[in-house]
Amino acid sequence: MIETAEDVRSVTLALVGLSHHRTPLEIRERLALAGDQLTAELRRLSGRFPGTELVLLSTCNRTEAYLFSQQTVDPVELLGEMAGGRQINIAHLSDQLYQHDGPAAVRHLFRVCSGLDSMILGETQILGQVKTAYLAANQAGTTGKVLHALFQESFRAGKLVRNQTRISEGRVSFGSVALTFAQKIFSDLRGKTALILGAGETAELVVEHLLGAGLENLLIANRSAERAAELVRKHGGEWLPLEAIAKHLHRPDVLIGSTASDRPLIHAAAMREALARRGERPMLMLDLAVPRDIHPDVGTLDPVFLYDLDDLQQMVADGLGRREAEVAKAEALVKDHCDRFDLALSEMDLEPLIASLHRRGAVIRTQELDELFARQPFDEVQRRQIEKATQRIVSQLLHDPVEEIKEAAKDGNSYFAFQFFRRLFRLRDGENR
Amino acid sequence: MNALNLGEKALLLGSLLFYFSGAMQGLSFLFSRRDRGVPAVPVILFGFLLQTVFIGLRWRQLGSFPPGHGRFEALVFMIWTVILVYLTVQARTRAPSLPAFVMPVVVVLFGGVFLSIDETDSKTPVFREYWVYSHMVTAFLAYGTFVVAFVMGLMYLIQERQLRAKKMTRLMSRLPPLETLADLAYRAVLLGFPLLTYSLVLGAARAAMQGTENWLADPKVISAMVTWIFYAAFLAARLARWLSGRKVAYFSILGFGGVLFTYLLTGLIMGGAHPFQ
Repeated sequence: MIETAEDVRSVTLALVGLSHHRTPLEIRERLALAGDQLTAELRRLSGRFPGTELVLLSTCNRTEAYLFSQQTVDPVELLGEMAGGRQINIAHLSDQLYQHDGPAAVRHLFRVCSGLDSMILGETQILGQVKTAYLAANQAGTTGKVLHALFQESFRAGKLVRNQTRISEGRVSFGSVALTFAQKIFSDLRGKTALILGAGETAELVVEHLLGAGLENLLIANRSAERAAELVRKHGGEWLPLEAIAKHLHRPDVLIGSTASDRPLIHAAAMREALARRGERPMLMLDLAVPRDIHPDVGTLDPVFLYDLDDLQQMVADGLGRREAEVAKAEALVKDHCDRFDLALSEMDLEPLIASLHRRGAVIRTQELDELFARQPFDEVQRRQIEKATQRIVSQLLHDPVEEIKEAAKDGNSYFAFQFFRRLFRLRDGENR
Repeated sequence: MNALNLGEKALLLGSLLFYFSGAMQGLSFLFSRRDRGVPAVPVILFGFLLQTVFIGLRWRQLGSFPPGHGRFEALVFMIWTVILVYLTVQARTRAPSLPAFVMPVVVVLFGGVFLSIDETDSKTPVFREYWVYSHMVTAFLAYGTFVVAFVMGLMYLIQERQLRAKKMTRLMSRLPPLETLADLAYRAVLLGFPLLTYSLVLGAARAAMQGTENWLADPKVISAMVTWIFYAAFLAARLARWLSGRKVAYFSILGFGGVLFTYLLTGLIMGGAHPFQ
């Protein structure tokens, strides 16, 4: 029976989760689930909380449970059950958890799909991750009418926001900036060579972007053979001792500086020779080191395109700034979508709700009539008159509430009106779906 | 007999309008948010068809190869060769930004066409000779390639500027990579140079055989030879791998200056007897 506000809350669409905003990586990592593990967990949780529609979104940056249920289900309890399975006590994370109900849950999901809640604003990976989560839940059989509608709409929302705003445009990482420059200097990265001086993590990330776009040959010049060996193992390529790079400067098309040297390692004079040896073909140079590995004079040479850390940071900041300028527009689009979805949801709800109320009326009427006719002998005519009169009573009593709820359904904010309606008439599971 | 009739005027104007439309479509692509394909090409192709028909009609009307009959016809033919070379390049390279740069140049050249619309000369039987035809056709084809190389050079410099400005701009993403532009410029010259050589050799042989006096001192001839030497040096330096992309662009742009001078200005400014009777 629905007796308390908590009960109302639980017959509801809800979401509970942890994300990169407040939860450190070590915990997020442990909660991350994929593939068969995810499907198994969905089934397990569905068994523990029967009659609950459930989707688990589990990525390296967030773990969220979306649920819709008729019973009294505490979303936190459900997430706690999931976390417990990974040896994490949810009670210790209560200040990191966030919870949303009804329209707020819808809005959250739409924002997530639009990239508005991501660590890197506007990133596009998340949409694919949400789709994967939804498909996994389908496979595990834990989705139902409401979550189907919700997730389908969220994909549309995510796509729309990205198409109609610039929230996903521009380059916002060193790697993608570097790749863009490379693609505007060289007609084809295949067959090109990159040389990393040193072996910083950023340099590795940048090279990964280039390798991903078709660059084939990698040279690593490092003092430490082990660190270089690690990179070679991961990405292939050739190791050169750092002291010997002067002889190899003509080989790379892309040169990345990333050593801890306190002086520049590459100067214009040496570069001039190397460029002549290369037939003056263009060279992209990215100096990620501080202090710089490449002397700035090198950037004045004709075929050289030199970008240092400041340049790259500025471009990333510009890109992020442009995305941030789109946030207001994106949020407005999300709100619009939420309103429309809420309307659709209420339309879905409306008929069954009215039908269940009528059924309640019919059940009560039938019960009372049966009892009356059992106690008192009425003739056919009297019976019919009583039946008709009682029918009219029930219809008239229910007429106004039904009209009111239909009115409420047309208005955008019907969600809580519906919840209250259910509560008012104590309509429950089995009766209204 | 030489004035354009109504049909010819319509064809000429029609091709200009289509080229202009191509230019507008190209430019709007350059500045638009969405990354569309190359919508300008069908429009340009149609304009090219109209212009081809126009040249054919003029040929029939004049009785011989039109460019021999004066500046107007020659400019029309030059534009035709530029479009021909451009379409060839466009067919091989997916570079949707090309129309935005090539077509405005074509429209400007068309301006020259309308300025000289009444300068058609009906005599000159010398142009009935095969050698002279070939000399002119190959010269114009060569000019067409050099104009395209010029545009590639311009685009190169613009793109290089974008890259050195250290900002991500939409223009940068719309323009092709530098390597592609330098390569296209070089290959256009590589195509045009033999054509120019053939043209000059034919012209020299013809003049020598005819015993024309002092043909070597004619300004147009000198200018053409300087242009030839210039492009020869360009190709040689490029083959020796001495030239960076930027220098390739500079050569392509300067070379076009030479072409303009040779063709248009020597006649205007310095007189001289070319074409020789």
